[in-house]
Amino acid sequence: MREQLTGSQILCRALLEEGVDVLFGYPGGAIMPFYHALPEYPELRHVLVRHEQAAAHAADGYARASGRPGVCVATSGPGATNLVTGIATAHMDNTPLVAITGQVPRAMIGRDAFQETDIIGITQPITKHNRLVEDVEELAEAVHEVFTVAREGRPGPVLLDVPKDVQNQKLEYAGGANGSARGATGRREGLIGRPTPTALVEAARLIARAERPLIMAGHGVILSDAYDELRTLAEHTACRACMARYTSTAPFNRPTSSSVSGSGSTTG
Amino acid sequence: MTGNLAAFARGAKVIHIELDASEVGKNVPVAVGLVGDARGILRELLEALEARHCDAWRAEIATFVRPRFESFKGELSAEGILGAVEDASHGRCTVVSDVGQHQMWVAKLFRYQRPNTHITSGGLGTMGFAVPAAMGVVMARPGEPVWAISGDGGFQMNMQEIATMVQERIPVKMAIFNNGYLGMVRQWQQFFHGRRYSSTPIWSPDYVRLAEAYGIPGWRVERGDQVEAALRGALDHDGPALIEFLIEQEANVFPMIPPGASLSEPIESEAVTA
Repeated sequence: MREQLTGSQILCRALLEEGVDVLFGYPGGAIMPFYHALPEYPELRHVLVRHEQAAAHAADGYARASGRPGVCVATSGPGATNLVTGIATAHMDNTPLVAITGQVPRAMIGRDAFQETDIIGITQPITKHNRLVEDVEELAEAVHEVFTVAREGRPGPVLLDVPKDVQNQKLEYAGGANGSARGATGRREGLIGRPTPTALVEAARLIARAERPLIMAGHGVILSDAYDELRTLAEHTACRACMARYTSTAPFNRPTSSSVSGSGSTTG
Repeated sequence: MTGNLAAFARGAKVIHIELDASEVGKNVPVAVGLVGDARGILRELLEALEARHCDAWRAEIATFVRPRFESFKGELSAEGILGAVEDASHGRCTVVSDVGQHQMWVAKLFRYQRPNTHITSGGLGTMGFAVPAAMGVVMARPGEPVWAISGDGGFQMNMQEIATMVQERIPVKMAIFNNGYLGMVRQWQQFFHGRRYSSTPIWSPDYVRLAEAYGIPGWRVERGDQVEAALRGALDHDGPALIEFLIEQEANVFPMIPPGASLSEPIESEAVTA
């Protein structure tokens, strides 16, 4: 017989299936069922921050350093809105960040309930994708969907809003049925476009004939782990490479690399 | 990259390698857009290209080199501190910077040995990012020193997270570049607002005693000869640690690009406005 699990337990299991090992978060009323289940899953290390903004930034830092999605957790209302600056930060720098927020029970949504806010509406322009989970039946699939969206193609932040009563709903859970269970970086090649052969030929022709070739390498080099290729191409073609913004893409002292261009000095 | 798109690399033929097709040509017109994964595209280009030299171009670039005019009036230069951080960590550390002057010093002056070892809020420019983000970096790179480098403004935005580091045993090494100002805004006020330092002087608590209150070691560094011992002490301590560097109050970051200007119009020293 299959196990009866709560939405919160299913959420924990789905996180484990996604290879999550650490969460940064802060408990509160609408996310309490999740925190009730959390001690049953000691493989999920929870770091209790002092402000939800820090949870989002810490998850962002984890993602940038590991290449895997970082996860932050907050309650509804002020907990969720305190994540906003961190989500926007991740959105601008294309970090795979998964934010999980509690929401007031479904029957209370839209009634100005205590600590209710429309975090789906608020984060719409600063997430790659966000989703309100409307029933426990869709919870595991929703978790796997947002992780997939966060890390595939051009990475970015996602938000999953889980009403408190959905966290308490029970369901027979087989586990992993919908799981992407890829764990690691796992960008699916098929989702990433490829340049046309004619464009590649034209680009090669331009580089071969350029009198003053210059590479401006940005954050995409880090996202695609292309440091060695960048250096080899720069050396091979005598292109000078410079790093845009704050990108530490190449060892500092290489003759082919030079300084940071643009910096923040253009925008303060 | 620039505050003036119309003046950006006007004679250039731009090849844009981009994962997201909607970004190609968004800001700068391109000759060729290559949509896809940067690594794969660079490999394909490498296969298609003969090795070549550009000696004239190299020689021309060499003439662009100019001395920097950053005025570190005290003994504590950003360059000296960042060099000492790298030396003390034997080149194996990750630097998480906040937003402002120190961020540009880190970007320009830190001698990176490995890719992706400078983590910062480059796009949104979120002050307060460094201290909490460094906690996440420690979790992802255990066993490697992780420095959160902040100014005195950004540090005070999220310094409550020292408590998280203590409770969760997350050994972030915190460095505060304290100049008593919101330095980047003050620099702009100096150059573009007639030195009207409106709301940029910023008071700080006693950071050494703040560290003490959280039960972690703290150092205040006022002279160049104190840098190494403080860094050594922070790195040797098995846990979070804090160092405050009292740097020149009105040091500026050069070159700076005025608002709306192009890359060819940088301000390179104080003398320009004198």
